[in-house]
Amino acid sequence: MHWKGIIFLGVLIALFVVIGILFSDTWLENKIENTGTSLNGARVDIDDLEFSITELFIRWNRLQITDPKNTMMNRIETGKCEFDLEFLPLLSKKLIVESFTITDIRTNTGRTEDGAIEKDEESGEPSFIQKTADYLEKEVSSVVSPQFSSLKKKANVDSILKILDLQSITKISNLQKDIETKYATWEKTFSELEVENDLEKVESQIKSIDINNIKTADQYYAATKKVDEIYKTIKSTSKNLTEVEKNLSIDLKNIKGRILQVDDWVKEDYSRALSLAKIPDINAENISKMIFGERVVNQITTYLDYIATARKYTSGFDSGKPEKESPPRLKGQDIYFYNQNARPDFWIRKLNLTGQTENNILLSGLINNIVSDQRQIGKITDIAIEGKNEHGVRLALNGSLDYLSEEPAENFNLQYSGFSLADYQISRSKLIPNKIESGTGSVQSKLGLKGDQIEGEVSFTGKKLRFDMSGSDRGLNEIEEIIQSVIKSISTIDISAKVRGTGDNLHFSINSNLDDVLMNKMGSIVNERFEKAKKEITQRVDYEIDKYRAELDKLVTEKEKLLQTEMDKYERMLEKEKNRADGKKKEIEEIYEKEKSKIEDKIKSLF
Amino acid sequence: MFGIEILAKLVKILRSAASPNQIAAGFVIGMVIGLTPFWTLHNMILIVILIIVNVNIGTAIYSFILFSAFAYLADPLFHNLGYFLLVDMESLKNLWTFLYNTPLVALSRYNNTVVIGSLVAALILSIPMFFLAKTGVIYYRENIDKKMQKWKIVQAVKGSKIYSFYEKIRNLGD
Repeated sequence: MHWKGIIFLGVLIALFVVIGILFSDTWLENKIENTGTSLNGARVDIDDLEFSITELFIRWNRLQITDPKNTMMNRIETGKCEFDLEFLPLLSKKLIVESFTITDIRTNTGRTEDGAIEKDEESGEPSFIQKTADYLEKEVSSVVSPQFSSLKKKANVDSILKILDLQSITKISNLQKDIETKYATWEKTFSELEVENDLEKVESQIKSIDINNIKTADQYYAATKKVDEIYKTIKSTSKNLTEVEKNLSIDLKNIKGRILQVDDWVKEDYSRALSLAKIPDINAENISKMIFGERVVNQITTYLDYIATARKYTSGFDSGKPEKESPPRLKGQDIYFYNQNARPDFWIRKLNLTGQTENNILLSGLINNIVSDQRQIGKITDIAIEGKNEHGVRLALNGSLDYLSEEPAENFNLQYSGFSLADYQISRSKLIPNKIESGTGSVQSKLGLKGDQIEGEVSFTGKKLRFDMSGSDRGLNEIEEIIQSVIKSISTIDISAKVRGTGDNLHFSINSNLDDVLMNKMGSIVNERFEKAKKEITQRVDYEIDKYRAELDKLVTEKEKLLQTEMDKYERMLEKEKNRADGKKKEIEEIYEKEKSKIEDKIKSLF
Repeated sequence: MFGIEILAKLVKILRSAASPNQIAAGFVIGMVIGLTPFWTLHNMILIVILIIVNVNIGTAIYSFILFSAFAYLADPLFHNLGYFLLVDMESLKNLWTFLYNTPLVALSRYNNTVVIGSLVAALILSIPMFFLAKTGVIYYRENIDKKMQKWKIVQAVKGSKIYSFYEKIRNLGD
């Protein structure tokens, strides 16, 4: 025993404990801030964290969660927060919190310093949620927001096409190359088919059966056996041909499906050309998208961001085999071992929160079971937050995150009613630049996701509206005058947005009570003013693309015909040999029947 | 002078009163600490053992430095071995899952490929290394030490003014 060593160890432990007590707060604060920041994608700041190692509680005075989309604002800011930790799970590296209390929660508060962080580029296939958010943003940005004052009746088509770089042409050329490769593969497949040889053999086998030479039972037996073999060959050839035909038909169908994409590519080119020419494509279907799209999409993508984070971190670790990584030296790769009966790595059983929104709604709510793996506790995460203020404004948010089954499912319901719209700009489009002077609004939104399916609805109603019309008398053109007169005359706005679909097949639409009013008044002017230029541009785009399209169509028609002819040829050959075999079989059977009756007659004559 | 001092201290350890077992145990403990990532539960336990039990700490420090450098080079091998043990060996999955949920063991970071790979490699090496080190010390003491003392270079160094001066300086701190 090293007695000196034991004393040294004692001093070391004492020193460690003292340092731990002095610096644990700062260390823990940094640790939580860093973890939160990496989850949020923007800075998370905690003020005055206090940790008690004896009583096992953590509390802090303020928490700021930066909005990743606007890093000078906090998505959420809280007042005092406090929670107790369970001791025993800590020894298993598990963080179990019985009750977490958050007070004075506020949304959209300003920050004194930028909360942006440097982000690593995400690699790999984007998730369904990311694809949905990208789709919605693309849907809104693809609708040209017209600036009527700067529009010309005539567009310079040559210069537009010069900048445009028609993407359809490249896409069509690539598609043509792909299709040519596919056809070449099929031509090779046909050239390697043994059908012709097999059928020639069948033909010679059939010819080799000489009916006139079948005199004895043995000869009959040999001929029948030969016919059976012929049928076997025909059957296997037929099976092969059916397989080939099936695959060919699938491939030809796929090719046709891919050709249908060309129309969409051309439409995208039209849209880009019209956008460059600043020609609006206004119709009753897209006018609301143009006016309200950005705001609505923003609200939906905010939900989607939360859901994506929840799916990433709380839907449990995959119990399958983890992929081998190449970590930096001495870091290694952590492997997680899922056990349904064990306690989860992270679990806040109850999160109580109170606070107020920017318009003084006193909020209170409860979130149950924020957990790293719901399967281990057999419970879903549910959210219920509500509040109201003295002016009758009400807010209620209910939601659930269900990761118990294979397919993750999330549901959110928001009801927000009676809030003031004073000083609110209802549209970010330049079509309606006016702020609202007075009026009240209500929003109802529902969003449900299940695996790769989304179904969402956002409804907004603005009542008793009065728009700020200052500036509406400044030299407006006729369209702007129409819009101004419409919004001056309305006192209610109803907007309804829907998004639904699966995987890559998503649909998004926005309708409002302004659609028909605006279209009725603007339609004729828009058409008269821009239709000629629009027609000129689309015709020119068509002209540029048509030769590539025609070439593709020609290739498809010719090759399809060629392959189909080849297939038909084999089928005819097979049918012909099959008929021959049937004929031969029939002849053999006739001889058999004839000989049989002769023998029967002979036997009868014996008695 | 640093190189000479290291060599001199190593020779001093080999010639010291410490038994071959103490020197070999120190060597093996240093090797395990050096081969595996430092901030792990088992290393903390080994350090405590090193301090409390009568093993040669000097040898442990030498072997720790030596094997830390080796661990850096052998890291990909440890990662592969760890991945094989934790993921590919299906028969061990229940054991790992049990340990993952066992208090204190969960804090050992055993579920990290480099930690478990290097620890298993170190444990496998520890028995032969113990006997190798022990045999080496005995062999040195019985055969090499006397011969080394007779080497002209050793005598020349020991008789030089620089060495006397160095010894004086070194002894100042004692």
